[in-house]
Amino acid sequence: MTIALTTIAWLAMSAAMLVIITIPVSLHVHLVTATILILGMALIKLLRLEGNWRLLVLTFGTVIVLRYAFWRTTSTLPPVDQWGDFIPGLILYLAEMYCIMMLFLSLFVVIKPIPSRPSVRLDPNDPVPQVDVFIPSYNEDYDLLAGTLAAAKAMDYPVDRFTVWLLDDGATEAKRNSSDPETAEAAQERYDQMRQLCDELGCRYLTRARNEHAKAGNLNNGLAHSSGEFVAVFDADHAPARDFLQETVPYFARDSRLFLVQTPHFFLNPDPLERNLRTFEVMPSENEMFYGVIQRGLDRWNAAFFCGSAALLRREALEVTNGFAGRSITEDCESAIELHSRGWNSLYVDRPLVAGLQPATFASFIGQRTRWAQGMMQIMLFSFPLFKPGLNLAQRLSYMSSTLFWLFPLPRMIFLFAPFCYLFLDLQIFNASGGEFAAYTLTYVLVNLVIQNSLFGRWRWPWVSELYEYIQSVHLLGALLSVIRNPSKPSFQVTAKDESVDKSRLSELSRPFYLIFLLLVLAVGMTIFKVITEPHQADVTMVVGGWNIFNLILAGCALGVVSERREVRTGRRINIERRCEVRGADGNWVKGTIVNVSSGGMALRLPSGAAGLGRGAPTSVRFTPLSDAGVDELSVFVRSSSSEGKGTILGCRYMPEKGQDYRLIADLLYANSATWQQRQQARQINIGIIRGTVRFLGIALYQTGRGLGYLLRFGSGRSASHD
Amino acid sequence: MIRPIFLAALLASVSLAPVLAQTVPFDMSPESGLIVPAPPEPSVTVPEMAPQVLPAPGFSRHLLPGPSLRLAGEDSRQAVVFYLTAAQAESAARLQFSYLNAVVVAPEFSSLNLALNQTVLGTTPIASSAAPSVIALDVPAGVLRAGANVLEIHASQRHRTDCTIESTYELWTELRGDSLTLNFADDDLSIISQLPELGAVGVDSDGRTTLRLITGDLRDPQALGAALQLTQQLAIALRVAELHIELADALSSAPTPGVLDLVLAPAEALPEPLGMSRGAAAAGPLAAMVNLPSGANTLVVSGPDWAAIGRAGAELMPTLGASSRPRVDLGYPVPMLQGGQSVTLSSIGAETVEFNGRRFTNRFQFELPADFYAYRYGDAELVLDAAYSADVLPGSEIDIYTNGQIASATPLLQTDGGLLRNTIIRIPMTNLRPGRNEVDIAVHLNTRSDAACPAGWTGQAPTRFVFSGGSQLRLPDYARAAALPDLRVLTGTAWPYADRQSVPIVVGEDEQSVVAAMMLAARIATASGKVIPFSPMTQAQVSPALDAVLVKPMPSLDPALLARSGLAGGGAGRTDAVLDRFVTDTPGGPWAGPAEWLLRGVGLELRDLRIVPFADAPHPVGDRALALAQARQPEGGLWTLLTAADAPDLRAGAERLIVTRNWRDIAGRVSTMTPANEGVTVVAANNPVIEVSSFSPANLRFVAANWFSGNILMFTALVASACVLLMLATSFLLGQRRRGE
Repeated sequence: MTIALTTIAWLAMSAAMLVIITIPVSLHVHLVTATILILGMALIKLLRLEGNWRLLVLTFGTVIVLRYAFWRTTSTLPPVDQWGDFIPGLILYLAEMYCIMMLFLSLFVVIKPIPSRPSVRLDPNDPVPQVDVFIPSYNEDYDLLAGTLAAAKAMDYPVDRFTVWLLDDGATEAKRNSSDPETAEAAQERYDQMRQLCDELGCRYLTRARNEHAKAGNLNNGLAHSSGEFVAVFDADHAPARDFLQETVPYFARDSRLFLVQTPHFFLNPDPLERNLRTFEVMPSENEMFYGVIQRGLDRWNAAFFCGSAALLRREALEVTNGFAGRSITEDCESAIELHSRGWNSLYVDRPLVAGLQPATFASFIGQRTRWAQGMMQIMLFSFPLFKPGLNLAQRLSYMSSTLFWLFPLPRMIFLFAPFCYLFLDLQIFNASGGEFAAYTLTYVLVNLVIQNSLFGRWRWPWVSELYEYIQSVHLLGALLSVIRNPSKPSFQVTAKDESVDKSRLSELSRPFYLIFLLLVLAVGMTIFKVITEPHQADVTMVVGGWNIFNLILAGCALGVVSERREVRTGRRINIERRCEVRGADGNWVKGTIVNVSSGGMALRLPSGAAGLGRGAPTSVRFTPLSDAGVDELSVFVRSSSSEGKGTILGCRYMPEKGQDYRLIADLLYANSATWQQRQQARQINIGIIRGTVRFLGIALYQTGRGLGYLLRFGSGRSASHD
Repeated sequence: MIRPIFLAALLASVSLAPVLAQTVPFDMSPESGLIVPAPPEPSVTVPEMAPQVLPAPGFSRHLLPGPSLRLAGEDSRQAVVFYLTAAQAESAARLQFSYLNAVVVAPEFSSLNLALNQTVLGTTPIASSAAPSVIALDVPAGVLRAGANVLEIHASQRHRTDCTIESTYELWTELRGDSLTLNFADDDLSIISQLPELGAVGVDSDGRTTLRLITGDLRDPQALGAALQLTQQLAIALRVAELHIELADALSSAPTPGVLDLVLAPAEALPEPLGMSRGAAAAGPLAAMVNLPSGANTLVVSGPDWAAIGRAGAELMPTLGASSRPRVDLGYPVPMLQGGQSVTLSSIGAETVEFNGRRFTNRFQFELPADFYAYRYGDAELVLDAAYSADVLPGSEIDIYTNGQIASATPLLQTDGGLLRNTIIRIPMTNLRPGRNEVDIAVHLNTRSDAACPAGWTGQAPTRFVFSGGSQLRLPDYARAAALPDLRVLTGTAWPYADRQSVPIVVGEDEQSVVAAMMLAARIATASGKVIPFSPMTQAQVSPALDAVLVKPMPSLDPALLARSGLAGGGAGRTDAVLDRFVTDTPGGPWAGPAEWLLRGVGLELRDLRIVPFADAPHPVGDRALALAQARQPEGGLWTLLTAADAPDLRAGAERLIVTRNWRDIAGRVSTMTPANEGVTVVAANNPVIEVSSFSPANLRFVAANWFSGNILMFTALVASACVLLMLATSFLLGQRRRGE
């Protein structure tokens, strides 16, 4: 009852607000009002006021954005009968309105994200449900799978209450019996190898007759062969932390309608942008905005959705929909929307409990994003969330936000090319004087920045979203259009994540970025030409030219992204502190400490001397694993040795011989998820709009130079001779 | 009397038949040594020639509603209206005028064209820079009409040598009012015998129309009431803008151009020459033109008593036939534009023009209702149909002025010529006002060929701009409300007084005050076409709850009433009101300087950002100044006061007040004029009361838009407080919508 009253009061207030906003006051009134509201927002942000003050900042911003939208709609569109101006003008207008709509949808989603839930543990007295852990694989290699399986086996959960399944689609009967003898032989070899690995680690190996329905089909095959009450899904490159099940299982006992507990994807390696721009260590990763805020926001509206991995699901719920949905190529989100619409609940735990890999090269990054974008578009087309029966209003809006987001390549490309309409073609697609532009558009852009910063400041620095959108848009636009033309055409493409860049080179997808950059440079020249030759409209030219220069900065920065930098290390190191013993050259065990580990090796500190171990010397390391792995000795060989004070640091490389050895590596790497969280939090700092902008400009300038340098060094096929 | 005779003499030597005028270039050489070299005012310098000239026979009508008519720029068009009696319309007539033009006007490319009731009378090259040339044109039979006749004068002028836009400002041709006459052969034609023909009284050689009032004691409220009513009605019927009123003791002895005698008296008090009317007047209300031996046009309004005279006046109005009123100075239609209406420019005098000059100008007018309240927000639209040739360079622009203020400047952008079809030019409504509005369009054309400017190019250039009369002026739905006090509403529309059943008026007891009151009333009537039902009373009787008008010199005015009107007496101290206001209204503080600088950058003033408006302090009236003040009384009445330091100043001030140029400058809550005729000083109302005409949501929204546009920080405060409320509602809602955990 009170909810109804509050809702009515809120609606009335909103209606009154809309009436006020649409009063056609003069330009000066808008300018003064917008300026004062922006000053208010700045003051609130400077004083770091939270709670309702944050809401007030968002309300102020909303008002200015809505006034912009009102003005844009009523005063700036070119006349319909001048279709040469009108059509591009309308397209630009619609792109802007899409952005405003997305702003409000995301405002709704993250208006008050659920705070991070406190850590939970299974109570010793609780019944311990049976869990099946599915690790679907397609073509991942032995080392990677061994690491993931070992980490899964090492999870802190009664050993007899969970089963780890390797669901191998790389060695299906169809592949093993392929007409191509090479394929058949490779599949058979994989089959034997993986079976042996599973045997050694105590996992179940499962494959199927044919590769039908890609990942969803594989998982459903797993469901058909297992019977546990809950199902955990980890991608082959997502190794779970020891406490994954402890942190997730207890929630299901509290809500019998809970179908999903999703946890974030945490990555040990940088994505191509972070690697090429060298921002991985300092700047929040791209996905952290999604897992750090948006999923928490969706969680508030019971709309956190399944992201394909790092999640625990209830078998009973999955059976309602006959397993994982396989109509779209993003089976995860599709399964979630189906179950939400049937009244099941989801939950999000904001704590990294898996460590994974993300695409290392720009091309595979684009491949992954193409799948997401196409899949989300398929969901849009197949089950339009706004009208999906069974969802409540908040869930509808949340899913609209999640799926519509992927239309971003359209406006991004429109904004990129819109200035050309004026600069090259002399079209008048945005009817406004310089003064109106300043009063409405500048305040709108500024407010947009402030809103984004208030919502996502800790997780996303200024202009970085624009950069990510731009680098994806160039190639995603075609993919989107193709899915709109033929919604069932796209097929599941597995993303390669274990590549590495051992030589600096230009990405194979870099060509359009250089072409766009060239066009933008030409447009700058055209701006200067027009300012000189047409002084009577210099103000308009400068405004449009300024917009073009913003695009140029973005495009210049993107040149750095597609200039693939040579990666020195394959795996990033994680600092740990574990006591160990090392077999010296004389065969005696020497006490030492493991100071950091990576997926390929570790660093040891020996307090006194190198114990006779030099470069290339094989040896063993002994330590007590946190879970019973059955072994405690790991073969390594020394790659480097350096003195540090009295002691010595030995760099070692793992030499795993059998499955159990991976248990030891996993024990070192994935034992403690708390370190991952610390690492994330270290870079989750809101650096503010001004610092962020200055920093972005600096990066953009440097990357433009680097991108052009790479073009000179590796362009025009010279890279081929290096390969 | 001397000037017409002199001109008639000139006419005898140089009169041209209309057909001839179109073909033969006008001879520029001075005529027979009569003219002193290049006299700017030939009529002043050569009066001694007059006695040698024989008077022309017959009767002539002056046509210009002012001392002169000036046609400036490359393309200028003006129209005047004059009224004829049926007898005049049927007679043969000859139009005669003389003109003088700037020396830089090239005769071979410049012409003057006169059209009467859309029939071209003649075209002549403009070639009279040295001395005025006199032109006479026979009016073809059937062209003149009884009632309104429109004379349109169109000058197309080109510079002799200069192709710049600046040079076009040097082009002018001037017709003197005393030279433009319509001449009839028959003396008797001056007589007006029908009431509906009153407009034919016309103007004198200075363009003035005078009402001579012969009446009894106007201290009698009934007599004054009848006089005020009649002067308003007659002002409308005479179709003039400015009606000068004199109190006279005796009837005119001879017919005088532009003068009407009004005899207003009860039957027994009618002066002797009107003895024959006494009988009829004693029998009942009488209002009629009488034929007197003097030949002067005389209107008698009489009856057995003042009450009957009042009735006579009331019945007079319909018979005057003044509802169809082109005013003599408004040659083109002035339509009333309600919200959402549009008007085609050709219907208000802006015809399609093919233009080969460099500065094209056009003017049109329209009227807005008394409750037009959209002068701070919103745009009217000019839907322009025009075309320009490839010769036109970018940088050319279309400027639009509203009531003399620049409102919009639209550059012509395409470099290869272009067609502007239904191109919408937004015109901020900032300077529009209730009543009559003037819009000027000026198109500045920079062209490639003008830069070269070969000899003769000013006139020989091919058409480079076409302006279509099919263009439209479109008004949006605008706010309907009145913010009173606002003298502009009164001077433009007579509102709110004209809507009242009876308007108390307090008039000083001296003759000058009475004349001032009548002139004020008549000027309001000629501006608005409405008659205010005044009922005279004393200053003790006037109720502050009613809308009232006071016309009284300050010494005789109750100081309390003066204060209620927003004026301060005894202007012995400061007389410079502008300086005074500047000092008191400038906000102080250390931040004022930088803040002003910052705001000026965006076109604002610090005073635009005040939250609490300044109080309307009593405004001191200068020593010999005339003051018109309007104030809203706490009791509800709206009072308008016309006052001055003494009665002669009041009368003299009223003469200046009714001059159209001054009249249109009156605004705000106080307008003052000094005897030096420096123009009108306006004191704006800081705290007007808004009277909303319609409480429909749409109108309230528009009214809010206009009000907030003048109270900027109020809008900010409203938005901010609405934000806080919405934030609290959202917060409350989110608190309730917490996920149950």
